[in-house]
Amino acid sequence: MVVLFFVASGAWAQELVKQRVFDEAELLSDSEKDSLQAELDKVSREFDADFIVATKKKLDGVSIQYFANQFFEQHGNKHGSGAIIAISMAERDINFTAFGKIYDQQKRRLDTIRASVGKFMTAQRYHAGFMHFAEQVRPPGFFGKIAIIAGYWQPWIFALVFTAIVVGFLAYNHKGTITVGSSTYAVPGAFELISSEDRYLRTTTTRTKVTSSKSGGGGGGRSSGGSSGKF
Amino acid sequence: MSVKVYNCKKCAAPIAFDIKEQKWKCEYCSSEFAKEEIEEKEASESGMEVDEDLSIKMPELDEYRCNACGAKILTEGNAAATFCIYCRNPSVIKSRFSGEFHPRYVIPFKVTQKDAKDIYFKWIKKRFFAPNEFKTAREVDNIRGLYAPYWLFDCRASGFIEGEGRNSKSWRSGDYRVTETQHYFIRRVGSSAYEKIPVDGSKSLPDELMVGIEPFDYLGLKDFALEYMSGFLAEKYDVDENRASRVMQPRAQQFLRTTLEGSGQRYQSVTISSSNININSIKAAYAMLPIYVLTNLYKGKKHTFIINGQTGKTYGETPFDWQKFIVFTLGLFLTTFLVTATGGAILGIY
Repeated sequence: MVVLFFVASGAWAQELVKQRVFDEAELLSDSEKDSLQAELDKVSREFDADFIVATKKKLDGVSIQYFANQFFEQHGNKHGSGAIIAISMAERDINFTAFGKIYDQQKRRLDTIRASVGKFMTAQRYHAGFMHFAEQVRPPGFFGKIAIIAGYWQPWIFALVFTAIVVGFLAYNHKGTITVGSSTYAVPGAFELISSEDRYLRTTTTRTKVTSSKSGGGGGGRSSGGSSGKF
Repeated sequence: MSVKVYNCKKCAAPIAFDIKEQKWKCEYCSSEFAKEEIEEKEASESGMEVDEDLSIKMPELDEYRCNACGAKILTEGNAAATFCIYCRNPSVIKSRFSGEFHPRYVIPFKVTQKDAKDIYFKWIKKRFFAPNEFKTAREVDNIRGLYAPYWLFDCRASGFIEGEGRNSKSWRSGDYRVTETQHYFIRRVGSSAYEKIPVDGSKSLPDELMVGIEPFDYLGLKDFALEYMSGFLAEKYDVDENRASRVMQPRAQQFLRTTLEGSGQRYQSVTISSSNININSIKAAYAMLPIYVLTNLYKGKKHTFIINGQTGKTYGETPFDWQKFIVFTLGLFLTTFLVTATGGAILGIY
């Protein structure tokens, strides 16, 4: 009777709850797995996407990015949205890859999220790190977005330049305007250019590297991108 | 007779130049006179004004007496036209307009004292970083219309500039941005002529403010006549032609340098490494040009403003409100940032 109930409830749970924590490297205790699973379920339902954590003992030569893509297609979904954090203990590789609309929301933060989770991994605080991942993949709210934007230099520089132009314009006329120029007192037609020389000296060339954004094309026509690193 | 008073031909009251009418007007009988009507007829008087030998210095008298009331006229410093402090009669001290001090030109006042004040109040309102209490003060401490002594220089300038001109173009090639700059040695030789570059001939008028009220409209330039001085303050120069010329020459040099830089083949950027410009054929004419000098006290410090008495152009030592500047700058910076960030968040740019 008890056993039956257990099996039945297990089957029921299996149907409704998708496995999202794949701890091959055995970094998490059972209770940690449960709480992580619950948290990932919550965000997955909330944003209609699949969020997955995968730990590996070793990769056997495949790249972590390849592994992460394959693993997500297998255990997450093939056409929808989501994100995966994958680590491999032997290579100390970590990868964060996002798909579909989660990728669109997080594409500028791939490195940031990967690095912030990576710090937890380095400290061997695996559970805290994966919970942090579940928190980080939430699309930022309005103020969250502003906080993220404040982390970029472009709006600060834009504000600085804009302010400098406006303040400069207002302060420029502070004493009045000097309107006398080189032609004010010139006798009209009196200027004579006696000789003019333009001699070619040299050509200098500078090359600066333009960093191109890396975004990998995902399968199934959805956009995706990942960031890999060591921890 | 060293003090000149111009009298109404009808009632003999003293008359002064009226700015609005651009004529001489009698305050008592309201008669108006054109310049020809009040000009001196005596040969000795007019002869003195035209054929003066500039090498002869007129003896400078220490004391002048008002022709109307006989009181002693107090003249400060270089005053050449003034008022009797007792009977307010306009008095022109002739010796301070004769000999080497005889002006060649005059530009009569076009802006009345009341207009000058209004111009100033409007102007100061637009100074964004001036302290508010200074902007809204409806009183000025002191304003006086003054014929300022000016030297008007004609000259020729000739010389060269040398430097480097650069043209750049930039394009993207693979992962690189390539910028190619072509450098050219440039040399421009040329000459030009300048007319009536004004330099004030008074030590008490700060040169940097006087440049700010330029230019005067030389279409209003008239041959000097003492009559114009009647009813105004005027000063004789205390900076002579040679000293004023040393102020004028760097200006003329800069004019030609700028003109040369803009001539011939154009470049995206130019750096001048050397230049040599000679000023020659300098001719100076002494002139009386109309200005208003306005001073306003702020926190115990005197701030001088000069208003062009012909065109109304204003320039001056506007006090700077640093607190306002800092608050405004920070406020604008943060507002711009927040608007940019909010816009970015709404449009999903980041």
